[in-house]
Amino acid sequence: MIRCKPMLGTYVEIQIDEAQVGLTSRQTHLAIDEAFASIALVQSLMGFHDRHSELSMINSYRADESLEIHPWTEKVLKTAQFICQESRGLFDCGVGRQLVNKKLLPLHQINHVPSNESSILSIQFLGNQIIRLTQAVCLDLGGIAKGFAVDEAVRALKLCGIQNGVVNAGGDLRVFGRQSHTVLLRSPRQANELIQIGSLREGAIATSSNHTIFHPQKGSTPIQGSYSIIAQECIYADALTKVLALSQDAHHPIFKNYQAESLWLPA
Amino acid sequence: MMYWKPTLLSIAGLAITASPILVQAKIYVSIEQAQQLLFPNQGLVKRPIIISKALQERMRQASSIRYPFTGERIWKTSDGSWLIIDEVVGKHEMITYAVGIAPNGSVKGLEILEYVESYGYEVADSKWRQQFIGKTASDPVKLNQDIQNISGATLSSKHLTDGVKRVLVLHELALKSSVSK
Repeated sequence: MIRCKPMLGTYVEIQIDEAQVGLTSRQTHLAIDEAFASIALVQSLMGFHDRHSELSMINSYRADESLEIHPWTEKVLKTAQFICQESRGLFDCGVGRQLVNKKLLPLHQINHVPSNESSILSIQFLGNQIIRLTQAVCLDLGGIAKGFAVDEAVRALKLCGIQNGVVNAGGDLRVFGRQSHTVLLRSPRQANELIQIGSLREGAIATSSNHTIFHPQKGSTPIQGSYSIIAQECIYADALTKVLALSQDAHHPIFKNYQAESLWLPA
Repeated sequence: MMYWKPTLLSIAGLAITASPILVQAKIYVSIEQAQQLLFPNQGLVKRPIIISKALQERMRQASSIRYPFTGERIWKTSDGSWLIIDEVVGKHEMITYAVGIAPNGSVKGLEILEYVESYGYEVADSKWRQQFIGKTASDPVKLNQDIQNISGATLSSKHLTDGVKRVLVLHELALKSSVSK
């Protein structure tokens, strides 16, 4: 059974093995519905386009203000901040303003914080899902939230008793269960060509192309190509593709910390 | 335990010599399955309508989709909900999708039925689609088995957003007020 819905600005596919032990097709569908509902929640919390999302609320706050956020938002922000520190600022979700300036994201009526001052490092975690901003920010979680959404969808499926499956959110994908899955990569040279890059079991892979990635300090984009990371969880795979693209280093020490593999195909 | 077995010797900067596979059609759910998913255990009655020129124009203005909507695949439930199937054509793809509309006119649900990447192929040509039917496990690409595990360029769902807009206009102007029988 494979289903697809438009979410997270792309097409999200959820595929589960028909031969699930002891589940009716109705239960299988309800499990997929639960997984889609988890993704919808991530989207409503962390979408930049949605001016009523928690992310937009954070982006509208001023320095020294505190607010309470959903535990999922807290987890994504904490992970994003941690990877920002480990990558010495290469991965910084504070690039929202630069993406607005490039017309890749919509402009909302928010604090127009200068892009060179916005950083994920301005968030302090006070516990109990309360955060405080040391400086106003313009965050975009587009480089990490999709991977997190995939992980939550997988968690929802497992809670419903699904043992094998694939969740694919426009190239951020995670496979779980006993089967190995062949992974294909869209060729960075020919958009209509796919290249078989390997086989994956119980893991995640994410791929970024260069044109939506910006260097937080220089504002430059990496050279053309396709940057993939294989990791245990999709949130890390998703975020680390940006570190690979910006560092241009397939052996960056951060990948070891997450037992991640990198794959870089120049265009 | 994660297990990753690369097919390619992944050395940064490696020139790819792997043989490329052409992107194909993906079929997710059938019309009947979409009906069950959006309106489980409810009877649906087919209610096709003729789209007048004026209505076609209103739908075009609302959605900026230029090609006409065909009023063939429309169903109604006994409680006044509707299910409409439409197709949108993007730059490189054609997407068939189903929209469920609740009696109050809000979107109840959305399900993608089929996604065909064209890349210059004549997607309307059934011959081209036929060639993917009856593929077996011995084929290099197993339809709906390998093909879904693509990691790569994010596909934009903007065209679909426009498609849903025109379906909502259709409901507002032509379906909502239709006499229920």
